[in-house]
Amino acid sequence: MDKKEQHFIEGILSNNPRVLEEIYRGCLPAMYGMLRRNNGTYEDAKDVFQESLVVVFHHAAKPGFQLTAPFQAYLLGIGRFIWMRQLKKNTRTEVTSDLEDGYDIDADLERQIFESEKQNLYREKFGQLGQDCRQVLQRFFDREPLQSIALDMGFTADYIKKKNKVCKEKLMVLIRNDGRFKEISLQNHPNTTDTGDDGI
Amino acid sequence: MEFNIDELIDGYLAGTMDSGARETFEQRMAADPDLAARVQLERELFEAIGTSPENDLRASLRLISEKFNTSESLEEVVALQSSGKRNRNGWALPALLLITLVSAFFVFRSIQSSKTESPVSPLIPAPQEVSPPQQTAPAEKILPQTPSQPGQAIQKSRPVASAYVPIPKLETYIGSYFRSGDFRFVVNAPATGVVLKATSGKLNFKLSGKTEGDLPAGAAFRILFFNNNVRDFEKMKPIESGALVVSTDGKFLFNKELSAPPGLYYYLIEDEQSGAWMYVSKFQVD
Repeated sequence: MDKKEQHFIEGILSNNPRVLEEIYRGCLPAMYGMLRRNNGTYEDAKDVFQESLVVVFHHAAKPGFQLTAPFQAYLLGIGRFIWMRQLKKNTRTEVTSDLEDGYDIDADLERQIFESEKQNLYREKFGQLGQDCRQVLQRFFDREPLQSIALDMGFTADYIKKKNKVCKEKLMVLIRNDGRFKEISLQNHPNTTDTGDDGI
Repeated sequence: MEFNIDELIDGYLAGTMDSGARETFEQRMAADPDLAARVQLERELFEAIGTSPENDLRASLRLISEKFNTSESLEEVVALQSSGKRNRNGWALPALLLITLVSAFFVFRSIQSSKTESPVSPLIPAPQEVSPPQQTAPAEKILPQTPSQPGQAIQKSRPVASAYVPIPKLETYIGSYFRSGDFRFVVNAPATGVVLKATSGKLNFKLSGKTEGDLPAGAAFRILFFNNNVRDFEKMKPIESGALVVSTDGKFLFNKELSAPPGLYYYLIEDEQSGAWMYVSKFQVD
């Protein structure tokens, strides 16, 4: 890994806004170029770009991480995989050859991408809850003690405990009832990745 | 009973269980896959929704991503932040409004003085004479660059004819190198922002430079020309385009006659196969 690439990886791991902006300036046009050829808009490119950086964040944090390609090729490879999955799911559009060629996503990176997809699904479902549930659960998932939430919101601790339980159940039902949850969970299982999506 | 399970899960995930209770709970999970799946889901919910390094990163990315939208205020935001006074306390918007107001004042004053002083090109920004960059034709003048300081933004705000209004989305990319580690394009001429002379609406555009690094075998590139019409750019409808041939020694020379009325123009060099941008620059036609 050369100095520039190391600088990018460290900037992502340390959440350095200056480096992140440098990566946006340097690599977003290429991501846009790639998506534009495959029915993607500038907004799609920005979304895929953000997801790709989050995947890099997790992947690069793993012990023994080695960048085996230039940074941009690596990032575009992740973006290509994410976009290809979206195309296949949403529009069943035929993907062009340039989307199917390129950086090889290994099984570890593939699992990381599925993991990110799953977390996005959780956030999406959380957003579908009512405001009162979101308020309580957000603080609960921020690891604030239930007693403190109750005190702050002017309820009894028992009420907040029950509310928290009901809201959490609602959220879990929403998640489990979404077909994507099962699909991602199956794909993210190491023994089933080879038989699921046909990959790049 | 179920309520106790909730408390057990919370205690287990919060790490507040003593080692004995933890071991018992783990044995219970090993014997009950549904319970194990529920604990796993709840653990993942903490990561996805609660405070986490990933969500901190997402928050940063959302903020940065906003700079790369089509907002008309993009240039001012970039100018503000590149001054080194990065905003984290919510004063950027008031500062932006203040700059806009001050700019409007200077624009108004400029209009007023142009009515009484000089009749020459009141709506076109006056080119600044600066030291010519390497290999730039002597007759060429350099346009003012995108302001990088808030003060500059104020001083350079002048009335601009519609044909010269910049496209913020493209301005952001000028001067960036889009490849890291393998190769990049280095343009010797024309310099970024140069003013070129057209004859009878025709411009003989010449581009020269070289690639640095290892060019992949079979790589092919295109050059796309845009005027300052945002919609055409967003639809990727260039006013002209052509193949950019790079010789084996990495050098390139591109010639094309363009129909180019006075105004601001951009060109992109893109990878023909992937559509990835390699280089973005601009020039003005007088």
